[in-house]
Amino acid sequence: MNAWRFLTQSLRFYARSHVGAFLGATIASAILIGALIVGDSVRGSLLEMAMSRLGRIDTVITGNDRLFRDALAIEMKGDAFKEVVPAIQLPAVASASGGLTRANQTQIIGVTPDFWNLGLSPTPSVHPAPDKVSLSEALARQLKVKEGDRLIIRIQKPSQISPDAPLAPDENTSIALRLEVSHIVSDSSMGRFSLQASQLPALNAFVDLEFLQSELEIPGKANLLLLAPEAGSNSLATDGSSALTSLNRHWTLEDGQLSWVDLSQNNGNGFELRTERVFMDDATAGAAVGGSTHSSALLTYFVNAIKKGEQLTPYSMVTAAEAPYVPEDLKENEIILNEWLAADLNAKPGDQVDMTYYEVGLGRELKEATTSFTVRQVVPMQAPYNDPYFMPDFPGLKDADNCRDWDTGFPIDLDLIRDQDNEYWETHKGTPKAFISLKKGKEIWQNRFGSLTAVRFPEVNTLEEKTELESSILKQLEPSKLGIMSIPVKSQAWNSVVESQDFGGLFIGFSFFLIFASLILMNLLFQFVVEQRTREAGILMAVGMTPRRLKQFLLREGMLISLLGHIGGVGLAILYAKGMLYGLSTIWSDAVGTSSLHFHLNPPTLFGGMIGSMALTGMTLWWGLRKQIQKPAHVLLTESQIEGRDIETKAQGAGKWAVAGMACGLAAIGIAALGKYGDPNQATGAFFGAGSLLLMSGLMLTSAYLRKLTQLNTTTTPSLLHWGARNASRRRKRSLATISMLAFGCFMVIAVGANKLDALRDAGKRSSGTGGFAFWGESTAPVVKNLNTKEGAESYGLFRDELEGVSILPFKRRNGEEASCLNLNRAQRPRLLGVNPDLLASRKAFSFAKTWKEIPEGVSAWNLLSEMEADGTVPGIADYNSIMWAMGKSVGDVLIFQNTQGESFRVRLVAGVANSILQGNVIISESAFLRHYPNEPGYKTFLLDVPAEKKEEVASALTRALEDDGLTLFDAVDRMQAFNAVQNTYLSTFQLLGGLGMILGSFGLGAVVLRNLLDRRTELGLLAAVGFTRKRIRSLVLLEHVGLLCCGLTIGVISAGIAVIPSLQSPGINIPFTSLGVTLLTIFGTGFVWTFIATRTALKGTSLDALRDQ
Amino acid sequence: MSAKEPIILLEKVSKRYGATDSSDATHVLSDVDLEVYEGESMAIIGPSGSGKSTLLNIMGALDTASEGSVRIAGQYLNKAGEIELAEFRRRTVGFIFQAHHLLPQLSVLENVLVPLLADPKPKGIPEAEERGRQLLKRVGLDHRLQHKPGQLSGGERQRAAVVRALINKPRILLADEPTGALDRQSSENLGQLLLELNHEEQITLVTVTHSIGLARLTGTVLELEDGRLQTSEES
Repeated sequence: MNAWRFLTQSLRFYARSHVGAFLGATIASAILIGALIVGDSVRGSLLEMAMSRLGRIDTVITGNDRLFRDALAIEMKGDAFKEVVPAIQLPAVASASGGLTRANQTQIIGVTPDFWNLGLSPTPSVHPAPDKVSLSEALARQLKVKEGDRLIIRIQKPSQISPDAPLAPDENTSIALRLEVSHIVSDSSMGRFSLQASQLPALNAFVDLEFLQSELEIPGKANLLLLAPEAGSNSLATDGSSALTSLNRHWTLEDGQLSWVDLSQNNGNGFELRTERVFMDDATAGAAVGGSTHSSALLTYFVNAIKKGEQLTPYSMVTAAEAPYVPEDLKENEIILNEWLAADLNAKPGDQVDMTYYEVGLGRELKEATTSFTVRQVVPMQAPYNDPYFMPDFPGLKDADNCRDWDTGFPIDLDLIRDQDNEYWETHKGTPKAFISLKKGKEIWQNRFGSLTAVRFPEVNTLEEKTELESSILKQLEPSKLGIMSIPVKSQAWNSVVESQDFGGLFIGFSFFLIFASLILMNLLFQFVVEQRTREAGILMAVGMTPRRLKQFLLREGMLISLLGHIGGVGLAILYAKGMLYGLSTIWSDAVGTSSLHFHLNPPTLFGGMIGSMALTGMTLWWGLRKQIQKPAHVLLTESQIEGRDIETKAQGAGKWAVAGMACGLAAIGIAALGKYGDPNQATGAFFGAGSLLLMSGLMLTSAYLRKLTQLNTTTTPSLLHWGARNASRRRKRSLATISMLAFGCFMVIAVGANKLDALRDAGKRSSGTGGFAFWGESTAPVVKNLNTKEGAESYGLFRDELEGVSILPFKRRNGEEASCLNLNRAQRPRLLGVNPDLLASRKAFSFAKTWKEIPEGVSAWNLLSEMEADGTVPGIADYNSIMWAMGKSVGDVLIFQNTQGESFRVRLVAGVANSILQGNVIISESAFLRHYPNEPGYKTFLLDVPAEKKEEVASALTRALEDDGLTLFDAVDRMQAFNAVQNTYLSTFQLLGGLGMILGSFGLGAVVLRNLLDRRTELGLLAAVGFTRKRIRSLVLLEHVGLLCCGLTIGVISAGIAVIPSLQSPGINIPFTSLGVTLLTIFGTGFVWTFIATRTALKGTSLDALRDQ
Repeated sequence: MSAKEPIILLEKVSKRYGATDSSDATHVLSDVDLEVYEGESMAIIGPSGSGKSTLLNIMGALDTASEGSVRIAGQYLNKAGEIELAEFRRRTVGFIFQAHHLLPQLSVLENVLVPLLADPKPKGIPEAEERGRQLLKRVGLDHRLQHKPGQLSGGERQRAAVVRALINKPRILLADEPTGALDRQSSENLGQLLLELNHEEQITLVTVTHSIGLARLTGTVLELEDGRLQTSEES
């Protein structure tokens, strides 16, 4: 005989009594472990998706808007990575079946055959021939095409000059490729390739790289380098720095869009460094100027007019320069005219001339400005002044033979151009007609695209000197400073999965009641068995066992039951996890946006979950045993022989509990009043607090009532109802525990369920989640014209009356990852939008859930976007839900972004918008956006105000007009609905699992009934002996226990009713009365059924037998 | 009386339920003085509610005295903590109750060995098992070792309970109405057994009983009435 033998014998003997506790442990462990398996499965599925979208790729070098030589791939191969594959990735619009099917968010990817070897299962056979395209499964599905079908893909030709830059041509640079589908590429064969972490499959169209280069007229260029370790290598993900080092080693000026001009071609001296981008950004200019001590910087600009009095010379090039091209002492207000201009204006040294030109504003905005100069000197039309190379390669000018062929991107008054102007152009091309100091030039013409157009090195004359200079420049010109980034995509993908939404935790939260109810049930039923064994406890103590050791024995027995329950629970957990995954892939797919969730079983999680769950059940059992065996052995031995000896008779303090209950009730009323008449922002919290207090009040008053009944001594014959209530008070703690569980569960199910969101409610109001806007628009290509103006609308073939009453609020967009609840991954590089804050502030659009700073009365939180911090931190605003859940941040936190100069900059989240269609984005001011992304062209995201009666007409006109730009308009309410669906689905899941927990809890009520009746068998026998019919005894018992059920539900419903008052009044909240009603009725119904079954079971057989036994 | 130290020494022992100054306080024992010597057998008789079982519980460290001094086997129980009291019960006394209180899930032999479980670090388990077998044989239950209590008669159950009380070789055997739930024949047999054990093992026996027959078998009979010892007689 030893402890183990004692345990096993006890377990065997009480096996039937332990079934309930065993089932409780089984369910609790199944739900807990199952929830963790759900978490593992979601993470595992996301990891699978990440691996299939990246294949073996570790790092990506992206040029952003820059193109570099595809030969870099060959040069870098074997350096840091075994494989380096060049590619071109561009946004595109795909359509098929004569335009009946479209995909506006398509990515066209030009690849070499090597690309396919990067996949997890290499399939070079899917490489498309020229004129053919291989599609990802998702794109083929969306376009409804199969192999052999034809489709059209429209893409914008990449330009080295931003469409927003001064003198950028206005021409439509999009091309349409008519291609035949050669293969549909599976996910495992790189079909899912994407640099964005998302569970949504990418819409990819793969074409041959050389073919795409040829179509885009960019031979030998690429904008992506994909770097991968050797196949089969198990190397860890890198941080991208080795790739950058390798790039630095092979980097040339050509990769930075820089080229040399030999000035000796025009009788000049030395070489000039110029850029295809026309304006040299600061990094390039700094490196170029610093490349030699004898450099001379130039800024040549196109001016609208130079006037002297009434004399006007239209449209001329003017160069701002340093010595030796202008005298070193040239003052800022002085100008040098060439002979031709001096003659044209009849100007001589000392005369004053006015120069009119465009200043660059936001977007493509150009403002005309005029500056006056004094003529310093007039120079002859000879070297170095007669030099057409001073003019940079303005795309719309450089190849024009005639002034009338100019495509300047802004209106030119051709009537102003005279014959002599045309003759000058034909003879001298862009030779500047005037020169000013570089300092003055920068002051008036410097813009976000750059401050120089060229740097000359007059003293560099030999090729050797040039090579040395080039090397010196390259040393200072790091690719990262030009925005050419090395992105450690594999490590980011890993982070985005690791930091993704924790579905394990989420489902533990959803299943809270189920777990709670199972544990309570297990504990309750185990306690019953312990109570049954009072005599055993007494004898063990009488033979010298300490209460502590006795409790240890009982706890071990409980843990053994729990362990057995857990063994069963693991199997059930797998079923539960599969059920939840099935739910997430089907009926709850709105919450996850994918049906690609697969079951993943991770042994450490399984064992961890088992240990955690065992610990939880252990703590529950310990907590239950805490109050057991507090009486001395002789009392336990005596009580075991007398029925009812252990019922609670010392129930003093009814008055105190009543006072406390009433105090809580009064506090609830007070807090509810504060919620109603106080700060509206605090109303939700106040009413929830009031509801919670009311719940406490109800339970305290019930406790007081039961205590009072315990002590009540009446001399009258009690009614059946009163008798039932008195019986409930016999086991006050047991009754109160039952009522509390039902009340608390009911409260939570209703309070949480009442927060379901309805996008339709108040959708037209500015304060709602739609901001009062009718549409959310996204385009694939940038929209560079202002659609709110007549000219802008007409440039897209729209008539102004079609857009009558329509107002379009444009956002600049820096593509990034969707940082919303629709993305299961944690966004590592959220999408950034730039907007003019005044446009949102003046509309009072959206409501704010939280702001970082106090906002003065009458000031919109949108104005915070204009308040740049002293250290350059940019203020940003995002949807509050996105901040909290998708980014894992709080209002006031800082996000780090990288700009096109390769510098990191900080964005502080200064406000969170209350549940809105802005989810997924971080919004900053347009000016801050342009400071960091000067070349990001046009606008790609829009909010549209449209009169309700014109919604369809406007949507149709705009999508038709901007079809080639891939404009998609989303009804704002639909977009809101899609976001709400996530929360609503989670709430439904919570309601379902919470409801199941409550049903299990009601089963606990049945157990309490059964136990109560078994305790009172002789009492019931006595009732039968004195003439009670079985039916009347059953009525008494049912009345007593259904009373507990009703009491719990009533307290829960009333308290929850108070807690959800703000939801009832709140815009956008849709209380699901039907489903909540069904849930409550089901709880009541199952509670009643369990009570009934328990009553029948307990009263089976003759009660008189029990009496005789006694 | 022996000149030796008494193994049980109670001085001015009172037991009261309720607060000292409360008018509702119930006095179960009042100023009880008692000496019992090693190897002595004693019966305490008295009407129901006279405090017999309470007195026995105090002697067996199952209950505590409200006032007075309780010294059993040289140990002052008033000053002992919970663990010491448990150890005292485990090593010094053996208890027999009116109900057998055998654990239904265990066999007869296992029930007899239950006190070993009370010891966190039990020693001499094989010896204890052998002693259990011997004692069960002694009480005529050697053919019932593997039976469960439910398979025994009332007398057999109570004999098994006696062996359980003896398993740890206690110096004192305390019996609370040991024959109360038995028929006359079984009562007589059990009484004889207890006295034989008292003589053979030199165990001090104190029993509370309504049975005059059992009381007469013991060396000393004390009567308790309203919580006070009234008379004492040598049998």
